[in-house]
Amino acid sequence: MRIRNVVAQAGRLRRVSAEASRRHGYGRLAAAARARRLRTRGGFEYDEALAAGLLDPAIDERDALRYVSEFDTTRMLDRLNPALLADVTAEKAIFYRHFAAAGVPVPELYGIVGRAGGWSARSGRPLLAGDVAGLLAHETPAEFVVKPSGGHHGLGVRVLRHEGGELVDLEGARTTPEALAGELLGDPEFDLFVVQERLRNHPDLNAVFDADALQTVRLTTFVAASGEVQVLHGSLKLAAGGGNVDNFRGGATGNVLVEIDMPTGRLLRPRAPDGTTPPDVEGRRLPDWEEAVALAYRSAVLLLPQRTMGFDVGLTPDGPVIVEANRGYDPFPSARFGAVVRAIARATADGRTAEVEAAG
Amino acid sequence: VRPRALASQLSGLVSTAREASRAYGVPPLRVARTARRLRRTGAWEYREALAQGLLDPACPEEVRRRAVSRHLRREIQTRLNPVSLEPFTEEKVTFNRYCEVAGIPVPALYGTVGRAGGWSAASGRIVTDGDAFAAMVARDLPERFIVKPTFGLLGLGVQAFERRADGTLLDSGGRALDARALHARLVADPEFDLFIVQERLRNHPDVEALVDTPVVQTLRLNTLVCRDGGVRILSAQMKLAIGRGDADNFRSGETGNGLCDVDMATGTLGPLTTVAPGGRGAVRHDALPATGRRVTGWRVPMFEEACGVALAGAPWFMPMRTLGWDVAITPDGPIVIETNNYWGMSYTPLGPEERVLFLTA
Repeated sequence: MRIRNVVAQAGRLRRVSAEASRRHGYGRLAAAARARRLRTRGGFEYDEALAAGLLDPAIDERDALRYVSEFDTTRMLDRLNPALLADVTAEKAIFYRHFAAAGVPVPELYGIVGRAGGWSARSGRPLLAGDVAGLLAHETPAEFVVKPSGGHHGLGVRVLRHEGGELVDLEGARTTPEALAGELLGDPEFDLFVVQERLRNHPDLNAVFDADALQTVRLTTFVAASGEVQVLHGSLKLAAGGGNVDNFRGGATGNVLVEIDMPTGRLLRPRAPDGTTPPDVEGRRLPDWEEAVALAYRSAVLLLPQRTMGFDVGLTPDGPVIVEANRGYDPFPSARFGAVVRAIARATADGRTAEVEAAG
Repeated sequence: VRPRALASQLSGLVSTAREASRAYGVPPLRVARTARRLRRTGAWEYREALAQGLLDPACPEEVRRRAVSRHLRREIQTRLNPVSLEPFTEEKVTFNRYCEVAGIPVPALYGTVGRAGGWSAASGRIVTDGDAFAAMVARDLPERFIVKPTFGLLGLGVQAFERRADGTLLDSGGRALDARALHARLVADPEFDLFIVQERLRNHPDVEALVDTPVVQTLRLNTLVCRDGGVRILSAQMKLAIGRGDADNFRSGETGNGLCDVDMATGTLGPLTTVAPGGRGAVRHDALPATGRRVTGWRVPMFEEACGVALAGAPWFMPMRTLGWDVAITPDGPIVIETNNYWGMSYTPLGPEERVLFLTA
C-alpha cells in the first residue's frame, strides 16, 4: 500500500511539475524540487501548490511559504469546530430555516424537494414526488435558485428563470419543470434540494464587475476564548466565468478572487486563474461593507460552539444577505490569509484574541 | 450467508416459542405459528413480538392486527423524515437554538462542554479546560442544571446537578464532585464528545404530587403532518420516572420506568404499564406500586396546551413529517425537552384511524 502511495505521489509530482514548467516557463526539475519543498515545509499538495500559483518562480519561495495549505487549515478547523455540528451549516435545509427564524437575512425559501421528501413553504404541505414539478412551475417567482441541500463549492446550483413554460438557467440551458423535477428526484448524489430566492447583486457591485450570477463576499470569523468575535479576512468572488455560481474551485470555474482591505472595504489586487488582472477592480469600495461585517459578527455568535466560519455574504440592493456558512472553508490563496490562519492557531493555543501579522 | 440466516431465524423461532410456551402454558407449535404469522404479515421479530405481549394467547387479535412492528414503523419513518435532516431534531444544540428562535418553548441553553468544544451562553466565553468550566459553573449557571449528550438518545448520559453553597456539585445520587472533576469526566467520555448544559426543569405541582420525584416527567406526543398540511397527534403517552436514573425514558422497560396511555379527548391517564416479569408483555397497574397513588383517571395538567405546543411545533421541522415530542409539564407551562424522528411505541397500538393515517401518509 505504501509503495503504491509513493508511486501515485511520484506520478502527481511528474504531472504537476510538467504543467508548472509549461505554465511558468522554467525547468521541470526545478519545478519538481520547488513542489517537493513546498510539500515538506508547508504541507501543500502538488496540485494545490500549482492551483494557488505557488510554483511560479516569480514568487519568492519564502513568500509562497507564507500562504497556508489545506492541510494546515483543516487541522485548525477540526480543532475549533466540533464535527458533530457539521450539518448545522452544511445541510442548507437546516441552516436557512435556523437563520431565517433567528431573523438573519437569508434567501427566502420557497420549498424543499427531492427523493428524501418535500415541503412547500407557501402551502405548508408536504410534497410528494408528483408535486415537485407543480412547485417549480407555479410556486416560484419569475427567477429562482435550486441547489442541493447538502451541496458544496457551488455544485449542482441552478439559477433559473421562467420563459414560456420552460426554465432557463444562466448558461442558457433550457428545461421544463417536469424534466427538472425528474432530474432532482433522480439525482444520484443529492437527495434533497432547496428552492429559494434568487438574489441580485447590488448595482455598485455590478459597477465593479458586471455579472448575472451572485458575487459573494467571503468573511472569515473567529471567536476568541473571551467570546469576542473577530472578522479577520474578507474576499470577493467575481463571477467572471459566466456560469451559475461565483465559486472559485481552484480556478476551474474561471471566476476571479479579490481580497478586501478589512478596515476600508476596498478591493485589493484581483487574482484570476489565468494570472491576468481584471481592470478597474483594485481600489473600489464595496457597498454596505460595514453592514456585511456586522452581519458576520452576529451570525458567528449563532453558531457557537463552532468557533470559526467562512460566511458567504451576498451584497444585494436590499442589503447584505447570508448565502452560506462554511465550517470547513478552503484556504484563500494568499499570504494574508496564511497570516490569518496562523493567528487563529496562536490565539487558540494561548487563549487570546487573534492578532494577524502584516502579510509583508 | 442465506442458510446461516435461515438457521439463525429458525433457532430464534424455536427459543421464542419455547419461552412463550413455558410462560403461557400453551403448546410451542401454536406460539410458533402465531409468531410466524406476525412476522409474515407485520414484519415482527420473534423476540419483539414476545416482548410486546403479542404471543400471549390472551392478547386480543385486534391488538395484534393494529400493532405496528419496529421494522415497519422505521420503514415509514425513514420515508417520511429525510435522513439528511436528522441532526435538525437529534442534535440538541441546533434543536434548542432553533426552537428558541421559532418560539417553541424549550429549556434554556446554558452552553456546551466536552472534548469537541465548550462555550458558555451567558458570558459568550469559550470553555477550554476544567478551570474555565469551573468558572462557568460558578458565575454563569444557576444552582440546578442538566448535562446531556448533544447527540444522545433514550436518556443515555443525562445527568442532573445541583451546586452547593461551597461550590461543589451534587448529582442526583447525592454524590459530591468538583466542577473540574466533572469536566475531566465529560471530556474523557468514551461515547459522547459534546454535551449541552441546560436548564433543569421542575415538574408541575400536580405532577410532583403524583410521582414525588424531582426527575422531570414527560408526555410523549407523536405527531404527523398530513398530506393537506394539517398536523395530527397519532398517540399520547405519559412517561413516569418511577425507576432509577435522571430521566424518564422507558427503554423497553430496562430503566424501571413506566408508561401510561393518555386519553386524547380528556387528557386522563390509563393504567400504568410496566414490563411484565421475564420481559414478556406488560403489567397494568391502576396505582403506582411504590406509593399506591392512583394513576388511572388522573388528569394531566395543561394537556391541551402541551398538545398545542407539539401541533404548532411540527410544521417548523418540515419536510420531516412525523416526530415524537417529549413535553414536560412545568409550573411555567409545557416545555419541549426533545423530539425524536424515530419515535417508538410500546404495548399500545395506534388507534384505527391514526394507524391508517400513519401507514398511508
